[in-house]
Amino acid sequence: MRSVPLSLTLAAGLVFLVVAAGFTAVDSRAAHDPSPVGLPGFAGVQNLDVEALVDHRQGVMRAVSGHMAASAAILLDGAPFEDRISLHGTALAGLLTDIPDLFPEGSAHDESDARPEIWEDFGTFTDRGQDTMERAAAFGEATQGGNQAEMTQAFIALGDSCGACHDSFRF
Amino acid sequence: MGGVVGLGVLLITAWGGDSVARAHSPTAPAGVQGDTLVGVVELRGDPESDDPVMRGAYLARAGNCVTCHTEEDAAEELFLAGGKPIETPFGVFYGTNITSNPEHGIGDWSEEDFARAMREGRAPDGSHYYPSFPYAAFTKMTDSDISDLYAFLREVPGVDRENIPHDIPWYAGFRGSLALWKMMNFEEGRFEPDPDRDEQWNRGAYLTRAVTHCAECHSPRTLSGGIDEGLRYAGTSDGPDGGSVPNITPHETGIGGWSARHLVRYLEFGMDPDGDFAGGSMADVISEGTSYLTGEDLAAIVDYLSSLDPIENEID
Repeated sequence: MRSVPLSLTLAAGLVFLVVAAGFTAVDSRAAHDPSPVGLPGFAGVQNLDVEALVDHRQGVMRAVSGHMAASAAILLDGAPFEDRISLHGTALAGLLTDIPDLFPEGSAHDESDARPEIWEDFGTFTDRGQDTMERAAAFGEATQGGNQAEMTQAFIALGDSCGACHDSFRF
Repeated sequence: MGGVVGLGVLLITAWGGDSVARAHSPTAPAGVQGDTLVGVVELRGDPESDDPVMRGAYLARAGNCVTCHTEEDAAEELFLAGGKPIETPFGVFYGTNITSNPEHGIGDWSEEDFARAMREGRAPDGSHYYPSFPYAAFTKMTDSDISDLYAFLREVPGVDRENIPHDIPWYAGFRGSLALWKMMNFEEGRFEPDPDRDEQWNRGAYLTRAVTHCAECHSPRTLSGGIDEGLRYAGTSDGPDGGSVPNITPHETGIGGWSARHLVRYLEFGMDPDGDFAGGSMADVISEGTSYLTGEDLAAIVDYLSSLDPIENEID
């Protein structure tokens, strides 16, 4: 029997490992349930990973929280970063552009605080999201003007809107 | 009707906007239309007013009467007319109609009837109330506060709305068992100030224990449905509406990492130190209750809570 050179054996083994790892990775993704969901705002995109959707919207919400906390520190507590407030206002207006799109049908998840009422009463949820979007835009605009009273009033109004939505639609 | 008109005038003058961070606009409509008190929904009240109705309006917010006795997103006309479901481990209770309607509300109650409900948890016919009505806390209120609250509720326009029967297991539906519950878990009595503490702490203790009744939701329950005293204020994963309720003792698993400023802001506005906003039942408590309190009272509550013994109790 002809012997196989060691270098060839190692090369074949390496190829096997790479291919096997590839299959394992594909299986692993399939195993964590890429439940197909329809995205009303993204026609043509029909199959997405729910976990990825939840990761994205939670990331957006954390970003919103960060800008809200920073804005509160500047506007309500006097942190000396008035020149940065428009950055936060613009970011909030951008991040809260279309909240309902972040919650497509079928994107409930164990790791999410989203209540099922979102999809049971999507009309009300959409109205609340629209309200938040408008208030975020108003806050963003107010921060461009730089008037302290107007910025503060717009900030409070935006916070009220966040609370109103969480009241009904978040655990 | 004269009283209603009087309250309407008070409503118009009640708006002060004592802080830029208040959640309630001083421009909200107020006035009287027919027999409907437009604006009463947004009435903040005033604990320092000479008028008992205004002081009572403040207590109705502080005591979360509005939170539990008004259906969420209800029309203004249904203010305090009941119907709000409160899911508990012992069944679903529905907030009752406490408007001045004589048939379905409390319009035909005397002040003595009202005081007995608050102090003893008993209806005018002598039957016991379920402890979902937190008389275990309200029993500690002062006579004058109970009287003021009654004065306000007399002015709330009557709503002809029937109460929804509670959805509870048969054994809990037997009201005689409530006498047993009371024997095990209820003690009638007034709040006693602590002479070794200052005025702010005592005000906070009074509000928290007797009026805002925070412990009723922020404590786990024993098998008999009483508060687990060893974990009072330490939170529970089995709270109202099926949600978890956080530990509000000053332990690191509770509010230990929160500054007084952040705690006040949370009760006033719903925003936590991370810039996130309250959801679920607490959002209702804030929007319909604590956001109406004065800055002094919020600071007093925070002072009291911060003085509690820290209890380690991680709530998921």
